[in-house]
Amino acid sequence: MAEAIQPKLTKVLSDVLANLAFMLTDDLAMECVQCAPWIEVRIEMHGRHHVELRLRCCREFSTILAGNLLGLEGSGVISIEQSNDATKELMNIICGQLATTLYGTQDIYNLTIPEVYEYEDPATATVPSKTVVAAICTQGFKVELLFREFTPTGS
Amino acid sequence: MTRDVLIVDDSATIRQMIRRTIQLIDLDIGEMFEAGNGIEALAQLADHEVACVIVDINMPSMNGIQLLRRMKDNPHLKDIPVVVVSTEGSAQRIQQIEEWGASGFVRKPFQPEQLRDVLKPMFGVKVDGGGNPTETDEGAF
Repeated sequence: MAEAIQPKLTKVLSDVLANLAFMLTDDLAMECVQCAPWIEVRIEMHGRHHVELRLRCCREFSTILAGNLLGLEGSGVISIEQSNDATKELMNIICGQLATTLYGTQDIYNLTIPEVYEYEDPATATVPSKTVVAAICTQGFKVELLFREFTPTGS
Repeated sequence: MTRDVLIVDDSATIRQMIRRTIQLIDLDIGEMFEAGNGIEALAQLADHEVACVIVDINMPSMNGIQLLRRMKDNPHLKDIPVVVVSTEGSAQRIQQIEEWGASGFVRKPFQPEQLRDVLKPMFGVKVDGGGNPTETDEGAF
């Protein structure tokens, strides 16, 4: 399953970044900037399938993303709140695109409100079991998308 | 007749992006008001007469679908055109949005032209063919 899903995660992540923020994906083989703090945005989608998605990136990447979306590239100070908001919206859009890419357009999927977590040390951001991880390099920064299908408690 | 617009999205980033997009497109739009969810939107609508409401679906407190239904149930608000701008791609959901009375749908991420083409008829500009949404695409209903 992971082999089938991972390329789709990578494509959706790359396409959304390009279409939304004009951020093009670099060759993964190149060196990505390793930085901290590392932020993680989590969202779930519920329908015929139940999925948790996590997007992980550097705070610096998140700040550049916010600048691009707000039209402030290099010309204004981006607050933590703006940076978080932009990254949550990126996650929201990725989730909507993935729902149709993976499961088609017939079923309705309800998305939760994205939540942001921050890790001072990226090494402490663990990967839950049965998670598929896709990674890209954009603007020199590594961005990861984690995908995990689960069965809700009580069902 | 008012040419003001209300933008409803819990993301300040998206509200700013829609505001910038509207400034870019060649439509004679007046003031742009903002709200972060459906409850704030209803409060804005109580204070301001607007020509159109642009609304996201996935928001806390009162989401875009709940707002749309509240507006269509309210005799004072039911005739205000509502354009849904959302990540939603489900054909079933888009059909529901239309049935509940939305005037158009634009899927995020969107290009300025897509929003312009949906807003045009609401501001008295003729649409040059096309523009009707397909099952999973966007456009004016």
